[in-house]
Amino acid sequence: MPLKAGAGSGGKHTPKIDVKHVARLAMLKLEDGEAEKMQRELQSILEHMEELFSLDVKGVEPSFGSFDGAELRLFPDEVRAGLCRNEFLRGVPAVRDSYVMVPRTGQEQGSPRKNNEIEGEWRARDGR
Amino acid sequence: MGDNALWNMKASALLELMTAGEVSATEVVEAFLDRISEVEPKVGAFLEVMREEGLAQARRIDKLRQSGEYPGLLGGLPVAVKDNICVAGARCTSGSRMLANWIAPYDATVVRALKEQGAVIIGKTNMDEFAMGSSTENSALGLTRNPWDPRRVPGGSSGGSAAAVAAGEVPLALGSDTGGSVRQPAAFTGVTGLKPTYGRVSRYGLVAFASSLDQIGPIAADVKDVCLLMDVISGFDERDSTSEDRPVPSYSRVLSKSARGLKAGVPKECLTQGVSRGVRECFERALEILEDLGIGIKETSLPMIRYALDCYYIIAPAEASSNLSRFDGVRYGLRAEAKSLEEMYMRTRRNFGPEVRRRIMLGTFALSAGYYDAYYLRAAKVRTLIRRDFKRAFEEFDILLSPTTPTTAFLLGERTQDPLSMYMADVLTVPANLAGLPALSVPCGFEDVPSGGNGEKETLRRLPVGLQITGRPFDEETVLCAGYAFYQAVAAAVEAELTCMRKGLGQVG
Amino acid sequence: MPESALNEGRAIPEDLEMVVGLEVHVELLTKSKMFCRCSTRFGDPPNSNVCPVCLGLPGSLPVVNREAVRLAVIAALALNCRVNPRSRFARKNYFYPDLPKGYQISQYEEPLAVGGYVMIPGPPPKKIRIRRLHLEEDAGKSMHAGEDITRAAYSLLDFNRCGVPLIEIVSEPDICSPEEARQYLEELRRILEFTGVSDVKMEEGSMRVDSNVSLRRLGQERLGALVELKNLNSFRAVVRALTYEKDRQSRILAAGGTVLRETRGWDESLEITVPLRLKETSEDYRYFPDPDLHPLVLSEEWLEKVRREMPPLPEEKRGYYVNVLGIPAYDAGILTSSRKLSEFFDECVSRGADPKVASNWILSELLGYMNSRGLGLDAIPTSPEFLVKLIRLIDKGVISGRIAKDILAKMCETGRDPEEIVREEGLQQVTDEAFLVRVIDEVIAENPSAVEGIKKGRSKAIAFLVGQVMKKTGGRANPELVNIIIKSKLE
Repeated sequence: MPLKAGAGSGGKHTPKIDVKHVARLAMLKLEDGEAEKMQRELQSILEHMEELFSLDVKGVEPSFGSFDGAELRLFPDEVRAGLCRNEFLRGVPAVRDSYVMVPRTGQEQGSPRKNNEIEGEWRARDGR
Repeated sequence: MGDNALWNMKASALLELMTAGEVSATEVVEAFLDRISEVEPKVGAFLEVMREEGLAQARRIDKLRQSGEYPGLLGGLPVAVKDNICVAGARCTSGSRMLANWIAPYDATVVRALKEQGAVIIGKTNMDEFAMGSSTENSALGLTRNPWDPRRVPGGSSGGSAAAVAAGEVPLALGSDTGGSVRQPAAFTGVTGLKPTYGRVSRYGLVAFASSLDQIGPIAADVKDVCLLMDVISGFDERDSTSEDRPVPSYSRVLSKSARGLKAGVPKECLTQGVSRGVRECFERALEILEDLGIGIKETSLPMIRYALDCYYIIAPAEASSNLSRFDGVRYGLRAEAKSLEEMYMRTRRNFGPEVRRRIMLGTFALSAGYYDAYYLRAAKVRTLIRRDFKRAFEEFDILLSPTTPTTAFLLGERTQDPLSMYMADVLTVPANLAGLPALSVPCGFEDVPSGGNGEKETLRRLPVGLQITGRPFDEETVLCAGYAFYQAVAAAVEAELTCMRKGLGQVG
Repeated sequence: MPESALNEGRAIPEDLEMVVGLEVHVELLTKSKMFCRCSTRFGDPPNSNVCPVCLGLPGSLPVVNREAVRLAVIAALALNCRVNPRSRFARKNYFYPDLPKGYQISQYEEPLAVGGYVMIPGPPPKKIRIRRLHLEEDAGKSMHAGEDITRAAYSLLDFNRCGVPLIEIVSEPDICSPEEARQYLEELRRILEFTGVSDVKMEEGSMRVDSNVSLRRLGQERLGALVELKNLNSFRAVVRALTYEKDRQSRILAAGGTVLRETRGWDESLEITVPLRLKETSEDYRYFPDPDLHPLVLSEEWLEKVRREMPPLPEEKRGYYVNVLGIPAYDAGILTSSRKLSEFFDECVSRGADPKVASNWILSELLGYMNSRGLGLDAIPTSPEFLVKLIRLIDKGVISGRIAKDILAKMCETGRDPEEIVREEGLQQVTDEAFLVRVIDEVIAENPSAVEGIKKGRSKAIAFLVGQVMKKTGGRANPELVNIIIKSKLE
């Protein structure tokens, strides 16, 4: 096993991780100071994986699951009862009129699929 | 209180007593609930004890028995469930602040099966946050101690389930095993745990960590009790596309089979992985016992498993980074208030603990543009090489043997500052997950370590050691058969220590 | 030169050609969702068709809808694609509130089908190649509430559509004009509707279009900077947006500028495209095979079965109408312009109507009625059964063709049975000779000049008298009989 606890050897295959970019992708916010610590830790973990690069994997089929030749099973198109609405909405942090409510995105046109959205004024139903 | 206390009995024995009408399910459940009240302050295995629901279910079982109806395979037996497995109406925290107040609205398939077979679910057990860890120290919601030594970790991530069984708080428990999370804590706490073949047990209702590696597995005091749970939780589930539709044997029945004549391989790579002297000695004695039982033992080699840990720490975080994206505060769980969506996401996801954040980062990196081929894809290819090694070995051998862990339980806080040293605890268990194979950890002896009290007189602590038996895919039978035969040979010694430990735990002070 | 002249006056260089590729998302016509068994019904109350799976609750797992796979395979075959015997689902990772799992299950490196094409009529006819066709799940719907002073801006989410099965059809950049794009989409829509893959209603979002647009000098291979267009919610929007883009990009190039590689949206109200500010991270979707789903393996037998049971394509049907039923090619083209229309016609024929007669009634009268009122076939309450009855009434001489047109209009308005209309409104043809003779005598008495004309051999005068009789009988007199009686009286 190539992993040994301790400082990394600074291997030649390990790139410098752009932790800020990765954190943005992962929707994680790294506070000041945390980024450097994360950088160090990840870097050292990756450096300990250097030995993986010494393996010749040319022509090897990747395994994405746990066994060979497994095939997907398909299920009939029958509607079955799911969660009742109250059961679902009870656990939702913010609800309005049976909709799940979230703050609006700061980058409004940032959706990769904006054409799936309904734009428009929504008015709260007046309960009184 | 003594050797004959209900809480010190195994599930199979309790079942006999209940079936014979000598004791009621209510009495059994009460005995364990009392035991929990008594020792839980020292162990901290549970995040939630379901006292009322448990007693109500026990009374239902008693009524069924009284009216002559069959109460199911587990009729009246208390079972603890790891807190990443959904029980409808109960909190399911996964050891995370993110889900600290989330009530699961549905039963996991295994939980449904337990209920159908008359099990009494009496609590949810502590775990490393989202099952990421090997000591249960990454739980955001509580500290679990090793019943054998309160200064030590119970292992993880199913540390709560293993500690609860070891402490006599429950006879049966469910854990989940992604890289050793059932077997490693079972070994650390001197109980038995099985990671079934990938696809043998439904994952529906198990909060996903790494989907291609996760399996739910039973933890109990001995192999026979593990079989009892396997008989209930195994089998195809149409809600889990990765569960396999193939016949499930009665595991309890295979125990009557002889292990004589089985061929066992000992991969030489497994003994060079920082295995401590005490563990090695126990393992070598175990090999002698197995030989005496008529099992042929031969050294073999799995050259690729030296890459298993690296491979695992790319694949598991990669899958986890995606699986944990759903914790965004939108539909359930914790939400941090914020003015914009992005701020809400970030502030909500700050509630992941440090290890979870680290793995999300690692996994996100491994999948990101420019690094996918070098990391994720390469790891997936190495996984193929590891699986080939096992396939080759199983052409010659029926089972493979190794210690479950390189060391016995380490001290609380000993490895929390160094993620890599924590990762090393999984070095012998991850290969079975990468290859999807069934693997059992069964107690095989003890290592004596200095107790190291503060200025007190130096005494020795007995810490349990686990023997790992790995088998062919879907051949849990052979693994359990060998494990049972082996355990029969050491049971008296192991159980004497266990009972002694349990008694000590109950004493005040 | 004033600016307006620059903007409007300068001609677009003629050697610039458009290169367009379309990505079309189509909802599949299944009862339940792609990965769970929640209903796909449109228009239900918000968050009522949901379950742990489509909400991405912890612990839930996807299971694949067989019918969705079957429909996607039908679409692939109908679009002449090669169906991969083995494909794979992959996760597309990004954060958006209407995407519950934080990833969309789609297909990436191993799609369901590749390498198809669609023929567009032109002129000249042209082959538009299809690069790939894959299965995926839809997201939920976000409604953005307007800002006001008292309340922070927020979005409201409905997860009913979340998990509805989609296919994405990606064309090669073979489309060279807005008109070709429109034809390609019309063809796609027709084929997918005909084969029962989708109801392809753009207004309900069951067909959605994104586009890649660039320009190149005629005959040159190299493409210019690619502009992605989103928000194209109608065929009209596609045509307008592409026309606008061609114009915009041409002007930039003509002025010596550079077209930026960017994503733009079509603003329906302003009729312009505007740049969309995309998150800088949204481009890295970190696709990887979904570990919850094994590879999708389709056996040759199953594919063969799907192929065998496939509904006929529009071309096949058109050929049948022309060659077997003897319908003129042009009419057959109209009859096969939509599945519903051709099915309406098929049912008339299978109920025994003469194909040509039925076709004429459908094309001239039924479509005339629909077009004049802007209605679709769905909105017309009548049925093939009633149209065939109407045709029978004419054949049997119960009603005249003229009356029949009025009856059809009534059928289309009310959905009533034509026999009932005839009975209740007394619209049967009058063949009672005694009655007709009385009316004819009156008409002869009232029109002496016409009678003179007939005696002089003017045949038009007979027609005039017949017309007068028809008028007096409210169109119900049998015109042939009237003709005979008049002739016998005056000749």
